[in-house]
Amino acid sequence: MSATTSLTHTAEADAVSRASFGFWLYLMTDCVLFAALFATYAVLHQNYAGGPNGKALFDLPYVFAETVLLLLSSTTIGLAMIALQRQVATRLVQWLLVTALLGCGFIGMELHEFAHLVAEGHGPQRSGFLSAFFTLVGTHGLHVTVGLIWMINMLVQVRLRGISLPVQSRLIRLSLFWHFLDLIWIGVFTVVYLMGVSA
Amino acid sequence: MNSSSPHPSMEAGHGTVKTYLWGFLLSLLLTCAAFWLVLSGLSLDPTLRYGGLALLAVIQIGVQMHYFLHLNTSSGQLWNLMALLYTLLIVILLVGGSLWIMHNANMHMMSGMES
Repeated sequence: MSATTSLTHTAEADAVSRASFGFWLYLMTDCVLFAALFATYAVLHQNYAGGPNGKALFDLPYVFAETVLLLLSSTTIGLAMIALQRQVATRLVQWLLVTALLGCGFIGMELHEFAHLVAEGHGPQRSGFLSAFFTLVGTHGLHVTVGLIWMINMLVQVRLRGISLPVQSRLIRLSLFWHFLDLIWIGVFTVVYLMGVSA
Repeated sequence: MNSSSPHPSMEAGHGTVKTYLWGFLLSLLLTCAAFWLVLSGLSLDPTLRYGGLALLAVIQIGVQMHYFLHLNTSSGQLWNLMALLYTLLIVILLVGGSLWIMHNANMHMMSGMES
């Protein structure tokens, strides 16, 4: 195997490592962004303005299904990374496709939930609580959508260029991003949905 | 030849199928426990329920950091860990500080209305 397709050169491995660390720092700033949105939600979560509260709006079994989809996708992108490590392009593409499908399922369910809320008149303009809810959950959903676009982009790159070093490096960062989104979701389903319903 | 290649921190090289499956199983278990705590209709003290939910979430975040992100305390990841700890400090200040100051503001506004 040539040095361009695997991380045998220390200099190349260093470059990938530096890029991963830079991306890790970006993820940390994203964490602060979500912290601000969580803080906003925590401050506004009882400002119902005479509207419905979380208990009336949230369907926990539905949210559980969303959670399992995202958790599964976080596992399958890990399996894709193992295929990457073993340089098996077909397996890598298969697992990335499974991850993308699970991610689409998650986003589809979330959009359906949002559409249902808005149709019932419980849109973001209804109350402070709902504004904060849509901003926090919507920002997470937007991140997942960007991750999906990135994933489709990487599928095309793997198809066109094979597992070249830049492609490997990008895939590693994509997996970090995807795992990170699942971490944020733990906070979302705990604070917004579970605590919202038991309030 | 992959086994001899140096693995950059936090990348594909650290995981095995087994660690990902363990991460998945433990996360699923913790998620089920959290949903059960609310859905079972168990009559719990609210403080206890909130505390339990928060604890389960923190454990699951730890599990996923270990099994999915392969974060550890090795010297190769010192700076990843430092950045994370610093971020944690900012997050605590941001969320805790916002709740504290807004709670106080609410209290003062209400006492103003009553008097």
